[in-house]
Amino acid sequence: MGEALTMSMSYQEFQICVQAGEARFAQQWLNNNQDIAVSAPPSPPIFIVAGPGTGKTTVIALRALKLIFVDGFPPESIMATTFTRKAAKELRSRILAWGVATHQQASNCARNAGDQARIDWLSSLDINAIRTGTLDSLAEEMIEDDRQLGEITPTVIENFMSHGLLRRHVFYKDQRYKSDVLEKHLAGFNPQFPGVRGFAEKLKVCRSFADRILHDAVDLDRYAQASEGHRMLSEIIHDYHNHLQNSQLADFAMLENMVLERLKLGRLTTTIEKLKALLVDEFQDTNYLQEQIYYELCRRSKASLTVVGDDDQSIFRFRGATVEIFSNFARRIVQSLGDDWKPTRVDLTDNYRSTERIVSFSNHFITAEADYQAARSPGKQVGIPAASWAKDPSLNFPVLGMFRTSLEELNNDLCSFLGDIFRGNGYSIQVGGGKKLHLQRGANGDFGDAVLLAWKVGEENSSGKPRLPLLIRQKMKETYGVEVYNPRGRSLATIMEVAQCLGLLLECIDPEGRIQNTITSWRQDVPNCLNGWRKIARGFALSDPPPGGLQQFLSDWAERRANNMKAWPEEWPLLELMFTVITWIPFFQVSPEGQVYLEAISRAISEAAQISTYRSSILHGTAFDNQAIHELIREVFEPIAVGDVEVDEEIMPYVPHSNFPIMTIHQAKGLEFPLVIIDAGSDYRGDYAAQRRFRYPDNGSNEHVTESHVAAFSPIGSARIQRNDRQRAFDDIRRLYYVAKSRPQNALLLIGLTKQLGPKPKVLSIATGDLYGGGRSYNYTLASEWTVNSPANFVALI
Amino acid sequence: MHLSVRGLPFEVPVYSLTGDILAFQRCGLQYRYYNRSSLPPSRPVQLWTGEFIHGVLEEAFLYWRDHPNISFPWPCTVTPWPAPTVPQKREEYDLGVLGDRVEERLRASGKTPRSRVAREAAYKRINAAMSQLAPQLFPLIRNVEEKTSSTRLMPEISNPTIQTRRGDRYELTGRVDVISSVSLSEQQHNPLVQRILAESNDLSLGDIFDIVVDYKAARRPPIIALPGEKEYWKYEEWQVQTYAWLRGQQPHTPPIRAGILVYINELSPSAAELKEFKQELLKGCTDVQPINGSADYYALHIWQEGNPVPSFTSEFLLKRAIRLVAVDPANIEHAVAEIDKVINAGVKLSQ
Repeated sequence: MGEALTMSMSYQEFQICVQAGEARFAQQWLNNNQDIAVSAPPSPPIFIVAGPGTGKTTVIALRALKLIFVDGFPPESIMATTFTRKAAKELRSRILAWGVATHQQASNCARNAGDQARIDWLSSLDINAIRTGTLDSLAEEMIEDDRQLGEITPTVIENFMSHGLLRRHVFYKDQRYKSDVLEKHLAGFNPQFPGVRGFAEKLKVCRSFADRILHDAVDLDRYAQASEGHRMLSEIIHDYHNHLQNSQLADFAMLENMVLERLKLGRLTTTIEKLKALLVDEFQDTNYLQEQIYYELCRRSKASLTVVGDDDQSIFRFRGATVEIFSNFARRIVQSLGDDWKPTRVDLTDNYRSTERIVSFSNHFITAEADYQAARSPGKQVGIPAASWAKDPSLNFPVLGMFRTSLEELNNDLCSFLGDIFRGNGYSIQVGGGKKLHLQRGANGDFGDAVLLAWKVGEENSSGKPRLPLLIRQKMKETYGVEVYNPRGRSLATIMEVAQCLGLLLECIDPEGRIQNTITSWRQDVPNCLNGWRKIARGFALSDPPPGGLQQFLSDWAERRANNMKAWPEEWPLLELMFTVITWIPFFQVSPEGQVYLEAISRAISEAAQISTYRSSILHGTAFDNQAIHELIREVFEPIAVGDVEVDEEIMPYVPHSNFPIMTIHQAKGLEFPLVIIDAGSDYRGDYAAQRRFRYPDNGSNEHVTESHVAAFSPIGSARIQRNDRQRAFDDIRRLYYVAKSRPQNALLLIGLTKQLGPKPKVLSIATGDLYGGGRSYNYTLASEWTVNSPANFVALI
Repeated sequence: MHLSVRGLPFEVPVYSLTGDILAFQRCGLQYRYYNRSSLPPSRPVQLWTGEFIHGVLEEAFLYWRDHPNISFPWPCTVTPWPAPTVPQKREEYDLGVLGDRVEERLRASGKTPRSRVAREAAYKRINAAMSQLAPQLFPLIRNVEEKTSSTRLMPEISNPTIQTRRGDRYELTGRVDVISSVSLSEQQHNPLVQRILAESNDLSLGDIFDIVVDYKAARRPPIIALPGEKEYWKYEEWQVQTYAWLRGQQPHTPPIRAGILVYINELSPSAAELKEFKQELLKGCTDVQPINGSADYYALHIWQEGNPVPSFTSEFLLKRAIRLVAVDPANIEHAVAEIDKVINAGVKLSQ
């Protein structure tokens, strides 16, 4: 590196090359704090606290490049991690695009100056060699790079498969799933309605607890000694981990744990010898295990460390995220690595995303709650509107509120509002002072410029009644011919095209349910669901869908004989049959939602192939024909029927601009939209106890109670329980809606039911401004009474 | 007030030379659904066989590198399928043991063989490759599965949609095995080295250069594509040239001067493949043929469909299996321009 340093560039030269290479930086360079964060020397660590819309991805990408071009670090020595695959892709895209452009500019300058030494140095840099990804993906790479001769690198399994293995190899053992002791024990730290009674619920809780054990470094032996229930649960977790280990498999928590163990043993030398800089984005969502990995990587490699995040946007507690790791970063890293690692903190506060009105509204929301302030990083600063247009009065629309007496009325008015904007001449409101404001789509704008954000996006409630997302889907289609993109809205099992596909598959592999009917120990209401699919499929086949021949196809399968085949094959992969069947169902080929569902079904088949004896194949003419079909029904169709298979909407790179997106607030993290509609209570017809945890909790939810349950056995436990379960539940809801309220660029609309309004609202909710200690921070006023001078907490009702 | 218009996320898309480019060339529509949408492959056998063969050869090479004294051929005791009972007392380098490991890895990403027959065929080919090819090839290999990646400007999209992507580049990745000129110099008696030198007049052992090696779980394609068939002969040459370009972007690496394509299926051809070979001979569109009057010539010409596949000499099989591609700057430039065209077509299709 010494030689590289002499060839490397000054920060000023770096800035010139970046500006020359990338148009956006030519127009405007970084603001002061961004510049400080990028230009800081490699050590001590930089701790960047970055509010919404403050350009943290820009800063982290440029800092990575500055470490190369100015500090002389080889690209392959830099590792940048973030929380989701989507964010990792974006970070890599920026590093590569800006890095290659900067490299080209620097090479041109060096050639013009005849600086051969620098030309040679620059030609030795391979920007693509920077390692970027989620910690999980990088952990996989580290383990692979560390592979010793004869050592088997574990195969990493996804959630669905780990559930299957836990069920098959651990849960059934000694009929543990029937144990009263276990049921009582699980209920003790999962008080949330409807409780832990059914098989699927117990399985889910145990699976999640297995992650918790590793994420929180829970001392399982000590835990087991606390009671009979503790012992039984710890044996289940122990058996599950052992089974995976013996089968050379690992779930993500085990993979990360393996990385930490190997680091402690002085292994992963390929990674350590190379590593000179570690940059961690979204640090507020780090769990204890990941924190230990980062510190251990630093301890071993002495790498330069940059962490970026925002504790106010920590919303992944249910995945083990521990916001206290971020809030107390300065103290914790010094405790772990010593005084040399005392970080320099830089706050990014200039918001380039939103109008002044929206920035003030979200600032107000996060600061209005007195009790919450104790949970934030000390010295937190508020966001400052900084976009060149942010303060333009003509662009500052009031924050709007639409609250109606019924769901149907709300749906009608919301769809009209959207239709006026995206298909009509715009939406007008009369405000105070005789002014009229008008909101309309931009040139070539479409429904994809807006989004509905909600905690839950399911289209039906637990009693099967329609929720707002379903009503919107129907109304949008009927009135404007517009599709809604909400792949998480419906359970796979209930979607018509999915039912057609699965029903056709069942009719092919097991005509008339001959083998299905021999199965007696079903989970839940599976036979009805499977028979429902079959019925739908038979009706579909009778309709003779194009390209035709479906009934003949079913009949060939029923007889395992076809005119164009000499002999029916001995094996037929179910996956291949599925791809044949969808030729009659174009939905899977043309609809973005269809592709998401298709991916989920095919993933279920592929994953079942990993755990099943007959590898998701349909056999013919062997002694195992019936067993193979029996296994397919149990391992593929039953999990889909009971809702174990979840969709992964991240697979869709582009959703058509004409579709109206509905997404959870968790999905919207990191995104921005011109118009954001937040569902703050379309379900809240009354003050129902079961709904309080989503809006104004009486106590902690399952994840908070679980954290307290394991606190005494985990090194991170005491840091978490500084605030009680209910306070943490309140904090989480506030953070969630802060994320939602900081997504819009131009306009924000809060929607709900009128029971949430009034001087003494019947239904309290944090999203609508209700406070922990009582009182309300928002002022709901008629739009006609709203003026440009109305304070930040005024919501104009339309 | 006018709302802003939402742009697409900033993206430098990543394309794998093997996984994406070749898949697209095979079938653009299928590529769109099964590659860019992350769906498991519709025809797992195609991908499974290729990846399985690559995987086992890599495992075998790594083992051989640390145990160079183990003589060829290696034992091959395959775990039965579909209901596995793992055979006892196998050597740790038994091809069945190495194969189990690779199969497990592939299964984790949803790839399984099409059938027992397809799986058996793959093991048969691995066995043939290990007995005929590995003794000559392994001593020459310097790196296996070397990761290469570089960034190129996104080709101009001729008919952009209203929402255009914000990244102006794409990332191309590939994995190759590499032979160095040093290992050629050290192995001058190796028949494969002699063949490389004989067929490549401009390669001199005094120079420093590398050769890339790529295995194809396929038969040698005809040099002129038959009507209705894809031009694999040409595509695969472009692929070698593009590997050379990719490798050339990595700092501190010698230039690539040649590529070796290994058509594994040629080492143990099936009846269907022999039939295709005979048809190509009749049409004069294949380059490597048995010498008139040789044992291989008679074995091939006497064979009729329906009879067992005859034995051929190892020399002939290796000759069919190995294709040498000369690499030079003009060819590289032409090939990467062709790859850009594929990316352009792929981008348009996926929008």
